[in-house]
Amino acid sequence: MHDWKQIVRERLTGLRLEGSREAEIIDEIAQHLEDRYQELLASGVSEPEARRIAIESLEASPSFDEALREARAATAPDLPADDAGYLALLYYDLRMALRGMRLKPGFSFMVIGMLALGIAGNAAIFSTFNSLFLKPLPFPDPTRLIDLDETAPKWNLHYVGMAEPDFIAWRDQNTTFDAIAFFQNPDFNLSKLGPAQHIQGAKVTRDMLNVLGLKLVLGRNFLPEEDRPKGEKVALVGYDLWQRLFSGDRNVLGRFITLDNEPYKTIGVLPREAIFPDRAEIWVPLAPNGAEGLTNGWGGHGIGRLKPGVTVQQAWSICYTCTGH
Amino acid sequence: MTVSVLDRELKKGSAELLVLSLVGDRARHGYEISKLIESRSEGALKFNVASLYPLLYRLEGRGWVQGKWVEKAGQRRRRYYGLTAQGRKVLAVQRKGWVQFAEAMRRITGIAYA
Repeated sequence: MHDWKQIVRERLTGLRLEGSREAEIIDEIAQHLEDRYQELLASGVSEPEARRIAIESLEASPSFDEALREARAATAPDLPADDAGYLALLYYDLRMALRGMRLKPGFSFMVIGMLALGIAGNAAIFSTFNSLFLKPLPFPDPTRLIDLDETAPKWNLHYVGMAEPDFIAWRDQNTTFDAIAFFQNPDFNLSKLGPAQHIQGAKVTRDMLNVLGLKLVLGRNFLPEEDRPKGEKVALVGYDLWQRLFSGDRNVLGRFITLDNEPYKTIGVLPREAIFPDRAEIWVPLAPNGAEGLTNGWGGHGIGRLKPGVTVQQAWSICYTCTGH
Repeated sequence: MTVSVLDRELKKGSAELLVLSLVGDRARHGYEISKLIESRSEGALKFNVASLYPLLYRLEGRGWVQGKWVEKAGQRRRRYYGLTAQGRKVLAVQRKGWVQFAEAMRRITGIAYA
């Protein structure tokens, strides 16, 4: 018997297939040559002639190894344009992609890194665009909500936040807003309810609920005396925090939580829509003090709800008259 | 000359259909496939090693046929190719396309089948 495998192996030099796969191909084609050789012998052809013809069939195409290499690269299939066809194409594409990644890992990681950066950038931009323009604020008549800010012309600063005394002046002389609120965004350490945790909080004046047009799920708003200096320490708990810490227990009212080592009495639960200010999970009274506030600079932020029919320009001119800036 | 042209042109356009059809009813090995093509076409079509195996591997790569090594008692180990479910769908589509093509040719050329 001829060593057909050796003949095929010599013919396929340079094919550079996987070791086991190349051995399989050589095995299979050698088998074919042996079959052909035996067939020729059986038909009366001489041994040398049968050998020559068998080898000739292998040599028939000068680009045999090239054709084999292309075949092993699995060209894109022409599949029927139905669901199964598309799925098969998808599978094929995934397989090709994985194969490419394996062959050029450095290049692949560079591409993946660039894609990750691009996607992350796009996601961040879309998130901002979505929250600003596409997804409306979850408050009634959101177009009447106005950010209140002050300017510091001598420092050439257009937006510096709001000073407590100016907030009090605007609030007391207000004729254009249904309500005005002042707020700060402190963090709190919440403890004595399982492990201590750091949460985003907000100090707000009692009109914040009216400004946003929200109603509490449970309990009541801050009383005027609670929103004054040295008022009782009370808190409105955010909806998610209520679910997380109290498992949505409706008897949460009157229970104490500890914020920055000070006890606060829970007097209400905020609705899910209370995502402002800054998605705070707990609200406490800001208790503005005009006299002390004078030394605080622009330590807070303001928000107001315009009366129906009042324009921003009208509100601005009146605020300007109140404080002169 | 006529046979040579027929062999080259028809194989180019219909090689996949030929192989898929032959492994459609049962799994066959490469040599068997080549002999069946030659015998059923009465010698008009011939597939040698260099044209048959790249085609088989290509079809296998597409998932239309699946090759399996089979070792039978008293015989040498051989690789048998059978049609996959996906290959069966492709075969149906190719058969339909071929019928339409042949019918179109008949209408244009007036060639009638024996």
